[in-house]
Amino acid sequence: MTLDELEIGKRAVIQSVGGEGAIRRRLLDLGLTPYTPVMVRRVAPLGDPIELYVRGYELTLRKSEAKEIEVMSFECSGCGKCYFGMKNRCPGTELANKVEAEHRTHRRRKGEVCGQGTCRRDGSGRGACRVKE
Amino acid sequence: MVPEEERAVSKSRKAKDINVMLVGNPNVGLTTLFNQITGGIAHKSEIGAKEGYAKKHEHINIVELPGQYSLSSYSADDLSNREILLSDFPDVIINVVDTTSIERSLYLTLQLMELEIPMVLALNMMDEVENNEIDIDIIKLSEKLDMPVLPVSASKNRGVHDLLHYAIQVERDKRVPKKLDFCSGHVHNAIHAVLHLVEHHACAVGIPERFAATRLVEGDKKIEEALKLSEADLEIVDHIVEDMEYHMNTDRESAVADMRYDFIEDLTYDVITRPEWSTVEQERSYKIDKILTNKYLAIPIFVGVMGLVFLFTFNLIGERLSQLLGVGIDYLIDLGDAALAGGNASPVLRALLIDGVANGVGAVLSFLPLIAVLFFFLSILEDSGYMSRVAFVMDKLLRKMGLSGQSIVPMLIGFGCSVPAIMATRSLPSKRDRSLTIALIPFMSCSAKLPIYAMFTAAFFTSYKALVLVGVYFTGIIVAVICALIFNRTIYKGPPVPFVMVLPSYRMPATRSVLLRMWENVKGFIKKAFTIIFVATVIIWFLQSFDFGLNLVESSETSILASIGRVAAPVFAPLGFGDWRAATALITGLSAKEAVISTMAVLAAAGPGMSMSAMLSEIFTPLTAYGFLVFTLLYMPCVATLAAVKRELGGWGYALLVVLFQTTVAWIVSFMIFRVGSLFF
Repeated sequence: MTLDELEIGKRAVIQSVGGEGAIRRRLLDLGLTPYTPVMVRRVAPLGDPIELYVRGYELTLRKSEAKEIEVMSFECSGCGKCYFGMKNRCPGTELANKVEAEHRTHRRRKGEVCGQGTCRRDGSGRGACRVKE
Repeated sequence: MVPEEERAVSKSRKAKDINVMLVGNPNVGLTTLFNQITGGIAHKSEIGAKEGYAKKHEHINIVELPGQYSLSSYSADDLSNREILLSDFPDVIINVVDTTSIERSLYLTLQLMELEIPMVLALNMMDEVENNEIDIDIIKLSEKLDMPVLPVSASKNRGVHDLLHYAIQVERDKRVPKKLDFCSGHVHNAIHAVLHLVEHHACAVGIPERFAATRLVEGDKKIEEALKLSEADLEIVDHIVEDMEYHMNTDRESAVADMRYDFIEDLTYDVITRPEWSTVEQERSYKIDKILTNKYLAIPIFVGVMGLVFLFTFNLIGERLSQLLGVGIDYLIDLGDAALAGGNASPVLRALLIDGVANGVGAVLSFLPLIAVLFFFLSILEDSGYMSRVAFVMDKLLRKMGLSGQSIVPMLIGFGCSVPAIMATRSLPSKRDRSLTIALIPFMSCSAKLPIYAMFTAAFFTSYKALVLVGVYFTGIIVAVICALIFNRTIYKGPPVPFVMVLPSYRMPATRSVLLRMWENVKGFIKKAFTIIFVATVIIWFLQSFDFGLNLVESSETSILASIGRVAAPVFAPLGFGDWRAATALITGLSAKEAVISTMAVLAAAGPGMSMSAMLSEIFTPLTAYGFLVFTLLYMPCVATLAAVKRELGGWGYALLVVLFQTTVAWIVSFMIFRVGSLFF
């Protein structure tokens, strides 16, 4: 699913930012990197652009740009304890935990098959995966 | 006892200014902080950077760079900032950070740390942090980043003194931020491999090697050129990056950005706890926006707000003050006149001073309050965060014209003055966007044209004053829209420009910065009145008082000016105002638009017992007066604007194009108004 399809008030996690050139650079610089949670805040009166809540601030972009951003939506129990972008993410949902786990172990090797046993990384998510299959 | 050597150093230090750079994201309070440190007095205000000396420390030169999100090279602002930061000009960087959205702010911090310039981090908006019970371990953050981290609240003037103190300390110790290893894995390997390869090149051209290496891995063409790498070296870099991309299964840009944010997340996880996921200020903005960007209310509210601004400017406040000032100026002129008459001054001198200079400059100066009030409101709209909402709301409409919502901010500033408006286009991301916006800005009625409208409406349209004013403003906007639509389908064809913008929370505009901005513009206006307008009036007076034989003329009909005006007049004859005085006024208007009115004032003063409005009604009918107003609105911009266009788009060629284009458009539109209008009136 892409970001422009996300309903207002629903949360999702960015999977990839497509597109190219300056606009993509800017989105990455602004922190729309993979595994970042986002929420759609509102849609402009004329139906475009949209306003996002990401990494603790509000960002507006057009639907055509949002179309380039792949997201994975998840249900939120709405405990209000999570803060998007920081690591103390929503503790209540299974998916969030799964995302978190994936984030920690596979972040730098996403898409690549890395058997859990062979990946010698410390729990913090830092450090390189030294053994490759 | 201070050793001789040290004393020499401290002496030379006194002689040299310390350049303190204020760097940070847009809307983090850079200007507020600058004003707090310097007292708002800038001794140099160029495009890009504003410089001022710190209060009570004249050797500390504070430089405020325009807000930026990264040191990449995709917008004009970012590029010019980077050039300044890479030069040997900066001695120390104060990186200002919005603590409420610290992750995004720290992204720039990590890039700045690669520059090997002594640096301190200012955590701004601490008052909001306290409001929201955000817990931040400043000592730990300082340890992790290995640089002084200071909590400040620029708007409340808290911690500013300490900040400056630490900045100077860091500069004295030449304490460069340590090389943070925020990379790991394949990116780490790639950066280090590139680093070894380009070390010498970077050293040779004076670019910090770490910065050069990271930029190369990210694929920065500008740095690639600057380093003058050989073909073979470039190939190796490409190979290293390809290898990294293969292993990461992502592209170079994403990989490096991802790595930086990953480091930031780890860092903030350790030092910050936020109880709620959005701050009180954001919640409040969210509620305000429910009304201001409401589906049905947003556009009416925008029109209403702009209407109010103009109502206050022209009618309720500005106009009254203008009249008062006008009376005062007339009184002074009369006093001066009497003094000259009593003091046996020569009649020529008296005519020059009173009829020429005093009337011309006075006519322009009396409009000062209008300009002050207009800028006051425009500054409030900008500082409060409402302008960004306007961009958000209007984006879709502007896109139809091939622009983006961001273009609306420079355009609205254009109602104040074209020069800052053209400078404000720097924040637009694409060149195409900028040049199109710049081409349209002069069609927005700038405040210098106000005196002309005010004078003409007073003379011709007393009962429909407001209607005529609105008509002129809208003519400008409509012409701009039509031109944009034509451009969008011809010269500026192409995919729509992107629109990505951070929406700041609504904030109470700081009285101080609003007043300072107003003062800056008022100062500029006064300066212009006593320089350009002054010289123009003296020249006009001279030209209209003498004939080619340099004899004093009886009536200005036979003067040099009349001859010049008559040469140009036929051009305007088809528009209905072929009088030489109209033509002359338009020509002098090129120096500054207010000169149109000062010229008229000088010419009127020359006629025996003729008032300005009497002379105007001799030259114009109401219809041609309206045509004349539209022509002055649309025709080529003043010299200052042209210089700004040239500077921003790099070339007189483009400025010349603007001149031709605007004058042609002005002629055609005025011609249509005259011809169509003649059918009815």
